[in-house]
Amino acid sequence: MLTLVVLIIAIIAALYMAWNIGANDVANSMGTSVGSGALTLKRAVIIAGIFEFLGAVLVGKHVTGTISKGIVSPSALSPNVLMVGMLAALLGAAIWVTIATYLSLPVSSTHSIVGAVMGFVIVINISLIHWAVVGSIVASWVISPLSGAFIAYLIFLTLKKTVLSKEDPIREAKIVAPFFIFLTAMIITMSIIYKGLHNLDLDFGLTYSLLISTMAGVISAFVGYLFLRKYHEKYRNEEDKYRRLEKFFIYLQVMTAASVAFAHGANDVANAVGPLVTIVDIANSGSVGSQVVIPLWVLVLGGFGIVLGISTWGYKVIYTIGSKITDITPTRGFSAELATAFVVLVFSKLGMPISTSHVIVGSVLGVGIARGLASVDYRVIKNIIYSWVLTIPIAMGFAAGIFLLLRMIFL
Amino acid sequence: MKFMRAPIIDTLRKSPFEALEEHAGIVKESASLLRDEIKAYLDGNFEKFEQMRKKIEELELKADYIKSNIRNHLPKDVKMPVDRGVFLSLLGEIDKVEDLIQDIGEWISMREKPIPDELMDDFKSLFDKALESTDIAEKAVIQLNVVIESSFAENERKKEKEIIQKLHEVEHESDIIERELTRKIFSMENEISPVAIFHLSKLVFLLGDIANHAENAGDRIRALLAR
Repeated sequence: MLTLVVLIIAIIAALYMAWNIGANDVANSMGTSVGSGALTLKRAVIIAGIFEFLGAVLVGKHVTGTISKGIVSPSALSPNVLMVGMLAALLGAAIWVTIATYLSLPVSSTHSIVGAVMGFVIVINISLIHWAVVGSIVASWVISPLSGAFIAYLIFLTLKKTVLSKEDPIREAKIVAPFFIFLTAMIITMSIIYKGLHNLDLDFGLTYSLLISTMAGVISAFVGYLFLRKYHEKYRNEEDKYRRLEKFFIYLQVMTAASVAFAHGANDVANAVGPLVTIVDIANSGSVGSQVVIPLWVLVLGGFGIVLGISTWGYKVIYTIGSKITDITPTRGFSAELATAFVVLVFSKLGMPISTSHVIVGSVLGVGIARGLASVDYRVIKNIIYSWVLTIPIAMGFAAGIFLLLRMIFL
Repeated sequence: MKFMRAPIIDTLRKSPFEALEEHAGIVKESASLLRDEIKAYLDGNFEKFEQMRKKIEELELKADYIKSNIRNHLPKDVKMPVDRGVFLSLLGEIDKVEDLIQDIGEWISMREKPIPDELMDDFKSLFDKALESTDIAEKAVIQLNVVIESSFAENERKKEKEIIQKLHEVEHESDIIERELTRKIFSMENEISPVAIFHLSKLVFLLGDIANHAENAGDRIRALLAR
């Protein structure tokens, strides 16, 4: 009975969390694309929905494993306590994220869930927390936006040297673009197949994964090249060569936006379903094994929640950004998004729950540092740091309080 | 908007260079109205002159509004790929040209008397130089935006430097005409009234100053281009 009640509440809470994540974080993948005119609102919603779902289902398990079993060792707690604790963490994070979202504070759902899981464990025994894991997670929160900035800087610099500074940028872009398509397709394929797809009983080693990814990259680059060659003719009459180049990059930005959506699904689905996995495990077997087994349906549920969030509220968030006239053009958006997708995917494969929102901000600043943007508001950094410092203790407090309450009721 | 927590919303801004381009466009438009305004004055068509003066006044208000808007939206924490201070002083120089265009109309309206025939040709050529320099200044601002779009591509910077060079030349030519014209005005001290001398010489000064400030704007842009 207890198990069933906890399970039902947890599923509802996880769905809600996923909804909130989809509703707000879709801005990260689609914001600059709609802002730069690369995508219409409708297309952005459709692409985001598809790729968020795929990312969540295909690559979501690594970070989910960390949230579910990395922060606290499941074997150290009795199954019932762990189950109720995870529910408390999920509810605590959900409540804080709701308040923050209502107040328009730029908090991260990732920080909230990590703080919340720590919160209930601290009530029991602070020494049960895996400080090494928590330490590396916190380090990844600092490293990931910096990596985003650095890689975006490099990508934009590459574009600057190989395309923008040339007499005929379009001609150069037609050569450089397939290279980027190759890279993107390869990274995404690699993230899916290498140490992935256990659910499909497909397990490729490093060599085969690399081989398949390279092939996928080459094919994508070729197909991409054919498409680009055909489409950019549409803007032949555009006199200003840079405007024409930007329009050319619109097509590439569709790809990078989809990649960010994919990476975001892969990383952030864990914030909704991480605790749920533990609860499901206990409900199924009465105990938790040390082996991380993540049922596919849980990831599907998370992916579904995210898609629901995008389609019921996310479009408003995208619209708000899209209607703000910004100077982020497709070449700049492309650089920031490609860097973000790359960083988020790598950290997802490492099982590190990071904030996609902060990575994209870091990437945009990176393009700015490369003198790519006419103006960037650095005050955003201050806001992010405030919300960062606030989120951990508050989510911790909420989860701890709810845990104490639930313990009185259930245990 | 409530119920949103996306930091990316706060990061992105409108380009101040586009706003600057808009501002410079208004200055160019005012300059071409000034041409009509002065023509009406010389033709003795004071009704049309008054119309033009009003139009320029409206444009000046619009330019002022854009100028304040740019300044208000560039707090210290907003980082630009160029020096913020120099950018703002570039804005100031272009705005000064707009002010001069307005002042010239106001100044000639103070005394509705024709310009002496002997001076007419020189005035016309001084005028042309003033208008030419505002046109070039606008081109320089547009090219500055291209430089930003290309993220400081070498060939675009080179084009910009050529435009700025042209501004220097026009300013120099304007200076020569200005000096000669002033000398002519004073040489007519026995034929025209002291009031006319004062009126005309100040008009010469105002017209000549347009090229000066257009040149200053060019110099600011040159400073922005330096790496």
